[in-house]
Amino acid sequence: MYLAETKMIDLIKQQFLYKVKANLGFFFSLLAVQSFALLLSVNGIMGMGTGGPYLSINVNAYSNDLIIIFTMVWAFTIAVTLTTKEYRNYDFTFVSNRLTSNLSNILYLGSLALFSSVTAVLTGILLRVILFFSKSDTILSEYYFYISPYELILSIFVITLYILLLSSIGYLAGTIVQLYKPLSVILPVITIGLLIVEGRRLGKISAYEFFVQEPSLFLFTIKTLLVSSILFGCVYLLSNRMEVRK
Amino acid sequence: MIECKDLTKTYGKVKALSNVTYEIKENTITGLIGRNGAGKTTLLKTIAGFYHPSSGEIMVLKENPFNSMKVAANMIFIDDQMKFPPALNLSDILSSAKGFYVNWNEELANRLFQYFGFRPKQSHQKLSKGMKSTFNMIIGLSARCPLTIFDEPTTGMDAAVRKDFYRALLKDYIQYPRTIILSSHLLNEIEDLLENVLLINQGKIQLHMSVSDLREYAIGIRGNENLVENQLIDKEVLYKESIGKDSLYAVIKHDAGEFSVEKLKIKGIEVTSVSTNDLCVYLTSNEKGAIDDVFS
Repeated sequence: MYLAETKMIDLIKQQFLYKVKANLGFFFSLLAVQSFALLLSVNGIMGMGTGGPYLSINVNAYSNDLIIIFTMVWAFTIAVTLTTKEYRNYDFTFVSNRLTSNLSNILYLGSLALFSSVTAVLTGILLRVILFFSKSDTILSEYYFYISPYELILSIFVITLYILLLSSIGYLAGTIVQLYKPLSVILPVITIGLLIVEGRRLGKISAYEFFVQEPSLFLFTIKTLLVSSILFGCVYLLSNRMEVRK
Repeated sequence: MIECKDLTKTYGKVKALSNVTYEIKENTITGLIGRNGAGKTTLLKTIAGFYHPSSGEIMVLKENPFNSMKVAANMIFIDDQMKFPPALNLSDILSSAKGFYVNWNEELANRLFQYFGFRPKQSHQKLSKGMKSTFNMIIGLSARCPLTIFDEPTTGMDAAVRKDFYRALLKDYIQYPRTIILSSHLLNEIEDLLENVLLINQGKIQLHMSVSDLREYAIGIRGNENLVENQLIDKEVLYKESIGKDSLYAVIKHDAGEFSVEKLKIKGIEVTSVSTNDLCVYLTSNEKGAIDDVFS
């Protein structure tokens, strides 16, 4: 009998391709989410106006923040979905062990982060194009309207990291909930509760300060990658003894 | 191929398997027989590395199967609970499987696929129970894994498909020998296929022997109640049933040379062989008596 000697790296590649093929629906949901966010963004996020007898000024601010936030929520949801029993069992239908299943999931989430970041940034450009044509009678602030290739690459990079971070949080949260179902209620309550308490007491949210207000790109990259890796590592430790195909 | 020592698996306080010890040799077909809830699936899923034993040791291909790459790559586990992503149709699933199993036999897969009348664009979720089982069986056979586990593979299949499946299994096994474990509660259907039987009852191994030994394990005697009762003294009685007014049928363990069939026949006692299926039922019957007692 010829025993197969499968290399781990080949298996992870195989599982990754299988996941891409099996979860094409995720891309449609991304399209839907980003289209919806675009629709909401077209009206502007802030508007103010002032006027006198001869002159009136209306200032409207538009932003693709909403698109990015929606994409982050989407990534979080996808990460949680991947931890559900059903999705784990899809892996174990064919060749898999807990390590390769997790690694291929992380690889998959990383690719989704990059992909959705690119489409989020491009949706932001689409928003600019829509505004350019629909508001042809208004003056557009050139400083914010045009975006240099460097800025474009930079936004894609930073947003990818944010989405990856959100995915890792979702992946860990999902795994914890799988281990103990009542946590699906307790966990969000505690998290949101703590954020509110911290925000009220101290007037700041440390997680926001830690990531969003980090001025150095290098440090931000290190921070997000490190935290995501730790969270993914926790998942591996938690799922390492998890029984499958129950 | 598989060595198991003092394996115990508990769910909370319930013992699904208790101190199970056995060995399954390479390139044999073993039938895992037991009643509902006897621990068949638990045992198989522990072999597959899906479950973690509570205590004891299990070695598959000389490795602990839990998280073993080697076992994962050389093992396939087929049951009616197999889940496939809904986005994939049947032919997608087959081509995915091809990527995962190095020994995958595409020709066999396609031929079986056509023979059983599947259409490539069908969705696995929408198949009937029997069709699902048939499709899963195609994957199990075509993967040609050194260790192939079928957990009640014939669930929902009609008699003709079951027969075809057993035949396909045997033919492919002869062409490409491998270790196959087949769990079922219909021993009479598969006994011609099997080399060994592993009978499991309430989490314990009742017996593990070759099918030919099992066929001679016990004999049935039937005759006048008193005459038969006399014969039962000092014998291991596996089953007893009154027939008619004063007739008794008993199944006793067959110890070679202890009594001659001729002598019994002269006394007017009929000696019959016991089918393996009935024997397994008798061996695994619970102490609470038969179903008749529920109604009396």
